[in-house]
Amino acid sequence: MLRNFIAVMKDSFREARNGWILQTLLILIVLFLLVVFSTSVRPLSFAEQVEHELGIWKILFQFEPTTGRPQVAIENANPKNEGEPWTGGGEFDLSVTFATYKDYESARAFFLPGRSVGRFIRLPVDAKRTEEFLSLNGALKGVSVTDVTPEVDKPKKPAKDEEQKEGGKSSDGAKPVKLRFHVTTAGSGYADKLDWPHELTVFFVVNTGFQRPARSMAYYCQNYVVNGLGGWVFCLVGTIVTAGFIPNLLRKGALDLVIAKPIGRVGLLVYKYVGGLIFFLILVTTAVLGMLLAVGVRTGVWSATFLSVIPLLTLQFAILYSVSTLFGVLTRNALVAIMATLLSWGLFFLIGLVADSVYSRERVVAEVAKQTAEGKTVWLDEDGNPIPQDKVMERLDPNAPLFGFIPYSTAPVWKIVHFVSPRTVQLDTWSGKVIAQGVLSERGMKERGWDLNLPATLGEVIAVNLGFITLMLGLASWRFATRDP
Amino acid sequence: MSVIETKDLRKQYGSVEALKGVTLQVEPGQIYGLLGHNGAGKSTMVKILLGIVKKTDGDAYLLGSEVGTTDIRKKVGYLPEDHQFPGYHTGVSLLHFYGELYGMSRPDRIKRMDEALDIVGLKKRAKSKIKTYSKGMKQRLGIAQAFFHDPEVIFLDEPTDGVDPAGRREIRELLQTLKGEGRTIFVNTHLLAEVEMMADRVAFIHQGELVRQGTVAEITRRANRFEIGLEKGTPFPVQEVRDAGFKVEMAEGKAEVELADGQSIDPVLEMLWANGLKLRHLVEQKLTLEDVFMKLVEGSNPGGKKGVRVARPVAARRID
Ligand SMILES: Nc1ncnc2c1ncn2[C@@H]1O[C@H](COP(=O)(O)OP(=O)(O)OP(=O)(O)O)[C@@H](O)[C@H]1O
Ligand SMILES: [Mg+2]
Repeated sequence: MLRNFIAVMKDSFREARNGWILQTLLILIVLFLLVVFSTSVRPLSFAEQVEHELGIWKILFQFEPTTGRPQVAIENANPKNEGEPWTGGGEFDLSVTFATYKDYESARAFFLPGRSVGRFIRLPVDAKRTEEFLSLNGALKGVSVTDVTPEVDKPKKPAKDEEQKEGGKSSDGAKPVKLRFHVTTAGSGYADKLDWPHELTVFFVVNTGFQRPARSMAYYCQNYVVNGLGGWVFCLVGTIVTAGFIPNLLRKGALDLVIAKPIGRVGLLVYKYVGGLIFFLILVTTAVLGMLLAVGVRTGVWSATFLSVIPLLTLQFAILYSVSTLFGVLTRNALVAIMATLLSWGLFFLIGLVADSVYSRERVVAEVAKQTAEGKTVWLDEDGNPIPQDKVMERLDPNAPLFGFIPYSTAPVWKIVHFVSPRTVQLDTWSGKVIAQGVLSERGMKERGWDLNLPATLGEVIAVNLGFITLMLGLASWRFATRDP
Repeated sequence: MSVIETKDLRKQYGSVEALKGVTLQVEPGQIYGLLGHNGAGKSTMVKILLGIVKKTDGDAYLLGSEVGTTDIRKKVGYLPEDHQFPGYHTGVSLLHFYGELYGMSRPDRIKRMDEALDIVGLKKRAKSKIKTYSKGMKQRLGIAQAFFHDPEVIFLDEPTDGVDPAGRREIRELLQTLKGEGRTIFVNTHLLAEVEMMADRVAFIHQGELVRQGTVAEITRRANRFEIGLEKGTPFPVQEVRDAGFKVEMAEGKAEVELADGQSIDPVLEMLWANGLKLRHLVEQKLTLEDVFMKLVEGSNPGGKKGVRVARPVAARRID
């Protein structure tokens, strides 16, 4: 039995590498990996990091007039721990310049209308608000700010007449408001060196100016490139290439040769199915091992958990290939098998998507209900006024149509259909989470919402998927074993 | 113990009755030919024995086991008709693959490989992809894979299909060699002349029924026709022999005497001696398998569409 299995595996490998598609893809993977190998990352200095944290604000300041469009600059940056700036923090001066007093006033009153987060944002207009401003994204820890604006520059409300002459050349009101704060920080929100922002260079010398924690870059490579793009391409190409394997086996003239050998039909079909996975397995293993190595060497982020993407992605493909196998046995036609597989893939994806939105709706509603009942949380409306407790649910509209057009009353149906259909979307989400757990820090996990519980455990997802595969193969085997060729 | 034994074997494909109760036995060490027209049920018979299709009714045993048993197939080789090998294999890799399925160890396979490829004359092209093979080369490979694993029984469904005349002769010789090694060989064919040259026993199957079986000698002997030639210049006593109740015809100076059932040629010979005539030529004329088969078929289908049958490949392909 084992010998038969090995024989069919070797045969499948031969079939998979026949026709150069596998080789072409492997070459593409290697080329891509070479690009990754050509990159390097450099940790930012303390000053660069503070600058980096202000980056997004600078863009906002430029484009949002209600911020008063301040010019902010870091000066005299001095880390406590030069070699390891992610620990210990340091000190720097923050200079904030508004073009006019009116701009300064605007920044003091800053509030993003209609956007609830806007209410919590404070702009650097005084020591206290600067402290809040700098603490906002959690990248700087233990921020303490003293206002060191020279007495002469202290903002003064210009006299009324002067204000009217705004734009006048020599008037006080047109004079820029220059604020200066001395900031000390006790540390950073980054867990370690790899969590600290790095700058990316590609092709050995091309500096991209792209700054992210090394862990995030590893995450992009592993999750978006390999698990996302790679998984998708491999599944698509794999489906097309392997769809011919079963019909080829069953072709008139080919089948008699094999089933006259001392191998049972069910065994033959199951081995052939597993053999079809080899094509995918080769691609995904190359991509995962290659990327693990490339990312590890270039960023120093080594994650053994990334290896689990090999079985997880293969399971994803195994679901598709089981559909392909069933249709291959039923119709003996590769084209029909491809169409059926791609359609099922889309269908499982849609079911998964809708079901996920049902689950997340339920989670939000439950959370809001709980917090409301506890009475500790006060919900505010768009204008910042508290919403009465009995009106909270009404405003949340828990029965709004899903995606704006699927009536929420169909939710139970989606849940049932999703429960028994293969969990491709949940499996994909789990792959992402497993990758994240391997490379991201706790902070990075939170940032991307991976700290939340997923609606189904990995065990459940795998079990349902294996169940589905067993069902497909069972039907295919039954048909294959009971019908004359 | 018979190698193959069937009792009242029936097979129904939907409404088509491919086998209508076939009973036959094949003893070890024989070359057994199953003959019949296209669609007679030959391949169906073999496929049932190999467990490829399921019998509808009756019994079938292969090497003492009920057919369909997986393990018994280890001792069986098979060349299907119209076979298509996976194009991505080479001759060598295919034999390795099949050999492995038959449970052969790698050293065994390597040991047999050269020999087997040599026997079928494929050595030179053994490492090319099968999709580059000609029809005859594929057929040779098919035969190689059928005996590669040292089976006790070999089923060959139209083994000479697509093979040139020289190749056919080689195949016939190969089958004799394999038989000499004590294997049983079961050949399906509609090429009667061919099977006549190699089979020990044959069976005729017609429209799903076994119409005749026996050794080739037995079946073809029954001509009951003797060709008699006398010493040059002495006339054959035609009238005298006719008067004794024999049918005589003269052709090219020789007499052809046809015996009725129960008649023997001996009285004629005695008559010649008594007349002092000197015998120079006496041959018992044999029927070809084809003659026998055509007769059987006509008999089983009285007033049947003779003309149609003559046009079938049975007659058309005989020439080679
Ligand atoms: N899979 C099948 N489905 C339906 N009918 C079939 C099938 N296989 C064979 N038959 C029918 O069974 C009968 C016997 O076919 P079989 O292939 O056994 O003939 P054969 O003697 O091998 O003919 P040939 O010399 O042409 O190979 C034919 O009428 C054929 O049409
Ligand atoms: Mg046939």
